[in-house]
Amino acid sequence: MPRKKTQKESLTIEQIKRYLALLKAEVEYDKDFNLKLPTGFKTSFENQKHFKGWINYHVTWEVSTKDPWVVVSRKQSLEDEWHDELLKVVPVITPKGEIVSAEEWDKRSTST
Amino acid sequence: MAKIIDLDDISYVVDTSAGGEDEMEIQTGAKTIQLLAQGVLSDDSPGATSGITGKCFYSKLKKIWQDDNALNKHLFPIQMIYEASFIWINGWSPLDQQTRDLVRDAGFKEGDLRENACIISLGAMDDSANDQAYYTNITGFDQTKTDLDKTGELNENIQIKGTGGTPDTSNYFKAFLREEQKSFASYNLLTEQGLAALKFEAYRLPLANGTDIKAIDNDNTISVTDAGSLSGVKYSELTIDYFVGNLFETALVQSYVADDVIQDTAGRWARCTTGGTMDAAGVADYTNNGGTALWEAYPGERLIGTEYFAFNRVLDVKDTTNGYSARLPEIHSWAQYKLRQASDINDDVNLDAYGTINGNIAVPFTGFVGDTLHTKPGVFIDDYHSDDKNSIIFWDVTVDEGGVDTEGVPIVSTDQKFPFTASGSLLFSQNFVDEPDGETRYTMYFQYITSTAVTGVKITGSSGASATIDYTGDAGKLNHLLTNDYIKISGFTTETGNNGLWKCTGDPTTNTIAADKVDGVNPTDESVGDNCTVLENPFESPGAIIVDNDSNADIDGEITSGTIGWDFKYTTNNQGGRTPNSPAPIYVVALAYDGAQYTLVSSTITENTGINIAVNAVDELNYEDVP
Repeated sequence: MPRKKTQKESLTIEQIKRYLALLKAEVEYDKDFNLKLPTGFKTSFENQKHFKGWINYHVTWEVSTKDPWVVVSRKQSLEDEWHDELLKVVPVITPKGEIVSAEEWDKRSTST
Repeated sequence: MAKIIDLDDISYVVDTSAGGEDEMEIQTGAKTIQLLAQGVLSDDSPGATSGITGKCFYSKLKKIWQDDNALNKHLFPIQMIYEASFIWINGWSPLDQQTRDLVRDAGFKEGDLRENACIISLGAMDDSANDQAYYTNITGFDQTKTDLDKTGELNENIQIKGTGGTPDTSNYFKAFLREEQKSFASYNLLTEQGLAALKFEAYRLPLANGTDIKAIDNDNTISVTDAGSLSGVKYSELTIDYFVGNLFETALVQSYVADDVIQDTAGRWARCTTGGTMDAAGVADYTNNGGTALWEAYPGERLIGTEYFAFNRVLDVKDTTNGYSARLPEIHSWAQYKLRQASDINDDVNLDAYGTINGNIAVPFTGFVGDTLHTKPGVFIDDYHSDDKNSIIFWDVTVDEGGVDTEGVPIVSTDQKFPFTASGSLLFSQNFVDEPDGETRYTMYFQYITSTAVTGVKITGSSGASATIDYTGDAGKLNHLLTNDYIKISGFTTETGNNGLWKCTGDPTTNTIAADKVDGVNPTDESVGDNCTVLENPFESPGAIIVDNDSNADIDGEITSGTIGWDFKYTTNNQGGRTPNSPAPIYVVALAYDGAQYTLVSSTITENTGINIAVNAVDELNYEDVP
């Protein structure tokens, strides 16, 4: 008879990531969401090498797309990645007022 | 929370009320979606670091529409145009303004034709928690500003079209950032980016600030204490005047309409009061116009140096109670303060009826580059402190360059500044001061008028004290000399007796000049050709020239105190044919009968103020004028 999954093992990746986001928000907003986390949920992340604090979720670390229980390092924050994507579609006006097309800005960004 | 970008970060509920941590509530009956600032979703300031991206919002909906049977049976609510633009479709709409306010990085259109553009600012603000940007979306300086929803760096939607498409304010948007004692920023989005109209999408624009170290006086000092911290000037008595005027062109024989501003051939500016024609006499001098147009002196005309320039905004910075003139940082402090007032700042001194100018949306007046105040284009400052004359650069309405734009700002503006007046003080030792004034004298001389290095100088035809100085070897070098000039030559090594003081007896002719030696040593012919230095009208010659001050009077007088100020037209002084706008080596000669011995001090006048020259003398012990 197959072993019954623990509460922790039965979590989906979406549920895990939701918890991670809430844990980050607790630190960032100094709030207590009174989360009912599975036993050992927090420590299973906190004890990993690439974990750099809850505030840095999506910033310096992420969870693996293959295994959401594994912490991986980020080379670039999620927000910076998004901004790079946005730069390609919304023209950039430099502080000097120069209008740079998204395509041109993208070229400059990759050439410098 | 940082801006929400990962769709898994937020949770939702369908057809029920959101719990304390659910960020999204979807009501399929009413077809509304509500975003709530709770859980991981925040609407805190600054907008740049809170909310949820339009793309993430869309992605979340798409995922749950696939996964959730309660939603899958309903039409989908969002059509994404691209990352920075989407449309609410199929009868869906945001529940409330908070929902709209939480969307970042994307503009959107709603089912009722309301449209929103997302404004994203570039650059950092000094205090994100308090610095409040604002905007106007209707042209005209009599409009009222609207604060952005949040303080700090912008990333938020503003309405550009209301329900049913009305009101339509998509054709104007100007953002401002003006905080007390901080640098100002403003940005006219459509003008700067060449847009015909705003659309429901995201726009980036620069809007940043920092400490303005030149705005030395705060609001309290200006509006309550009402006394400048440097001069004591009563800020409440300073004025701002806007002048009506268009065109700003050189006068021509043609027709003009009222308020056209022209510059006649004499250089004077005039404004047309009654439309009509200008004839040739009027072109030469508008007061002599024989055409049908009527003219008045343009009130924004100002004289700088010897030329007249046009301005269309003038600040008068001298109070009437005390006659104090604001100093440059005070002018800037006050001008910036006025530019933060919601009320009309146009004092209409000239009764031009320019109209209402609400300060907080007005075009700026001043700025600093280093310690030099630069007016903004079209701005002049009246009654500034005389000591600040060298430290102001005025930007005019440049003639024949298109006049002014719809905001009254010159299309082209040129920097104009007064000729530089160098200044300083002569600091006399006490033995000069102690002497009765009438028994003292100081005089400032040029060390020379010109100093010319000449190669291959020869002497020919010497006879007694007379000879010919031949500078064929360095052709043209001494062509500036004139009959009766005294010259002091050094550098002769073959016949050293040729060094010394000469007086020119004729003008230069084919690289030669006739001269007499006047120092008692007669010249000798010299054919070798030496490298010499020729000083024109030097000190220690009858040709020595006393330096003129800024009022064209000799710097020459009695020593009436230990510190005697002087000034000098650095840009324009051409005494004796010297080169203006160049350093002037000078000597100060001072003496006092009983008090101080004859004293000679060497110095150089440069393009500076505060040039202090110490004149220290040895005590006089031997002078006696027996009665």
